[in-house]
Amino acid sequence: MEILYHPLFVVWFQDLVEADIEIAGEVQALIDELELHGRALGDPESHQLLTSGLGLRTLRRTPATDVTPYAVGPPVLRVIYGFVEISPRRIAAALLLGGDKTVLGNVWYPRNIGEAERRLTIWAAQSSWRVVQ
Amino acid sequence: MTKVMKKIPVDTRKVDETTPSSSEYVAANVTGRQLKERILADPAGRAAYERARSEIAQHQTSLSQLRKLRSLAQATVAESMGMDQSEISRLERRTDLLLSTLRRFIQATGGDLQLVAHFPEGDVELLVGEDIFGETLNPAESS
Repeated sequence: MEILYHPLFVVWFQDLVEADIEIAGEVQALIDELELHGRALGDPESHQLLTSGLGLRTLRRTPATDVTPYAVGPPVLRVIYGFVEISPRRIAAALLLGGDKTVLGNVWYPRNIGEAERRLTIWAAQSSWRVVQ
Repeated sequence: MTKVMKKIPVDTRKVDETTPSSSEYVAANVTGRQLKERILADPAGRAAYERARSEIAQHQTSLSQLRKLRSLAQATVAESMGMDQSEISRLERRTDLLLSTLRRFIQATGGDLQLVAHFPEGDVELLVGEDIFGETLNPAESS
């Protein structure tokens, strides 16, 4: 599936590459898995955001558990993304917003889901795309 | 030695205050892809990337990847399932399929399908789509 980068997401990702290239490598791995599997990418790398009216999902970079032993420690990162129909029957995944919820936990979500939804709504309107769930 | 955590960037930009132009969207897609090249050009970045990819591949496996991991051709799987190769091709691209079809596909690749439901209290193995009623539960009663 084609991946689209929101300009504000790119600013964050670029900062992440400069701050910690290993963590950025793990996030890049998630992006490439999304490209490979598209909508089929599921738990634990991708979760549906149930409170999103636009059907947004999140890529998850999470400290080691039984199922994600590769993560060697904090931070707990999320990349919020959504799907758009960029031409008839051609769906792309749009990377919208990245962030660190290590300290905030689930308090991180409401403000950032709202912002990601605004980014996607404006982007889709400017590009004449349809947001799909 | 504990790895010193660098500061993870925080994105607090509001899109309605900094709405990108169409050329900025195009440029972002280019820069986004260039970041991948930059990560992979760095030995530590590449190592972390490849470690993550191989770990993820262990639990995000599509049917076609699974078949390839088992070094089987579509035609071989088709034969053991009693289907056409074209049907296997379609089956691998399907987003929803019968449990019985999935079970036969797994068996054709030399595996055994188990369904496990995760609950906060623990895991439960499900007997769904299995021929549980065809089995004789108490052999003494069937004679």
